[in-house]
Amino acid sequence: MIKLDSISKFYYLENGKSSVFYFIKNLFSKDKKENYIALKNISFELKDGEVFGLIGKNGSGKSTLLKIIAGILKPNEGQVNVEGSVVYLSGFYHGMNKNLSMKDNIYIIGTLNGLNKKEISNRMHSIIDFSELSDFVDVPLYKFSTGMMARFSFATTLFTLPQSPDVLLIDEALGGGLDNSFKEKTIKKIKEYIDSAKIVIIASHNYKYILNNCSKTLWMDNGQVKNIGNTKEIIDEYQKFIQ
Amino acid sequence: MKEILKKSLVLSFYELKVKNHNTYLGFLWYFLQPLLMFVVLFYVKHKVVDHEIVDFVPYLFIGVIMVHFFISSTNLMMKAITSNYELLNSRKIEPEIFILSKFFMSLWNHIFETCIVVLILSFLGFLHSFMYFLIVPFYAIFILGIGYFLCVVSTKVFDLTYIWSYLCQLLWFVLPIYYVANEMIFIIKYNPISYYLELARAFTFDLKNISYDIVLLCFVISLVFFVIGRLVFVSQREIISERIK
Repeated sequence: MIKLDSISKFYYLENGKSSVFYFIKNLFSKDKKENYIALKNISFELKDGEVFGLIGKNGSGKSTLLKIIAGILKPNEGQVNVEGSVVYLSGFYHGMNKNLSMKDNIYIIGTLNGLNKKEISNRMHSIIDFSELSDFVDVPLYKFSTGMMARFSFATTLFTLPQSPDVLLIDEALGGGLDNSFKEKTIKKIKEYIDSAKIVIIASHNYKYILNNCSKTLWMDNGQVKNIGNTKEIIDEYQKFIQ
Repeated sequence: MKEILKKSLVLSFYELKVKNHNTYLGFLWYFLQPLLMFVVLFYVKHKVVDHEIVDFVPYLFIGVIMVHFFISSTNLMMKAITSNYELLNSRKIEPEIFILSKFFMSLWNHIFETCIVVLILSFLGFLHSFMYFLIVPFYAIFILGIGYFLCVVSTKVFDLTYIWSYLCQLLWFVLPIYYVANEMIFIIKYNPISYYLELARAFTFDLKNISYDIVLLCFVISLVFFVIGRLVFVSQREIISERIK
């Protein structure tokens, strides 16, 4: 179960100034700092078995909301209650070391995702087979093309994350930068992953994908809930709005 | 904590591997920097500074490897969070893993350097030089405390990386590495590293001059710095990656 009660998140706007001078000035400054409101008063509840869509323009607060549910960010106001294990799928490249080989990177990412050496070794073949890069296992990643990196990072992330999580959060992670045949394969793999999770939230600009997979959808605008309800109705309303 | 330590150790191993990547000398590179510093300071001492230091070779070696350990480890730990910002903002990963992995990496380097120095000193007749390893845990805990503190502050004050690297350069001159401070001037008296240097030198080649006051002082300094550094880090742990601008 996921229950969000009046969640708000804001950041201080400090114009990127982070020198010692500004640090000391801010310590003694009585001026009220300007806040950027990323999320304002978000509340909803999801039960087991629900696949939930999240749509909205760039910067509307979708990723911030998912990161709060995943426990990566802390809300400034409100309560978050998430039961069970959570997997947040985004940024497949993060954590990879380009100077190391594919094999070493699988060990690094596997370790960071909580697997032991034996578990990583067991999944090694699946990752290599899935990425179709068996000839490059000992090649450092800086020699990989963009497409090869996309294949490798996607396969590594997906196979080293906990399988069958209670909550799966997908943030624009539907195989961007991949060729069509591999993209189909990744979408199929993500579908298997979705089916294995109890609750799924998908944030995407791929409305067709949201329509095919989600029963309910939330439309976010400027950090607030614009509308929530039946996926088809919400997407139709959103598309009219952006036109 | 056990899980964090395990992950940090694995990461430190891969970081060592990256550092050696495509180099001909491999692990020897770790020793070359302090060795070069040793050679330069040895030359400077003999040509410029006129007063004699008994057992100057171990005196200088200990000074160089200890200061080198301090500088390299604190600089690495300071950047541990900022350099993994993207990963920390896209996965729920304990940030401490990255600080500890940098710390362990520096510690392995230091142990490697120390082994070579101990071998050289033993060859030169300083048979107690292996006693230096008794100081390493105290000194490492002191450094870890500073590392925790620096990595928190560096997420808010980016200038710290420059400030710290300048301060570290000054350490080579304001610490009694290649000279003897006849009196404890302010800058040496209030620098905790000078007490570790004194203790390490006493353990390594001057066993008769071990002062239990210095042993106790180093123990207290390590504990205080570690507790303060870790408390600062723990208080910010949950929001540390958000602090980076």
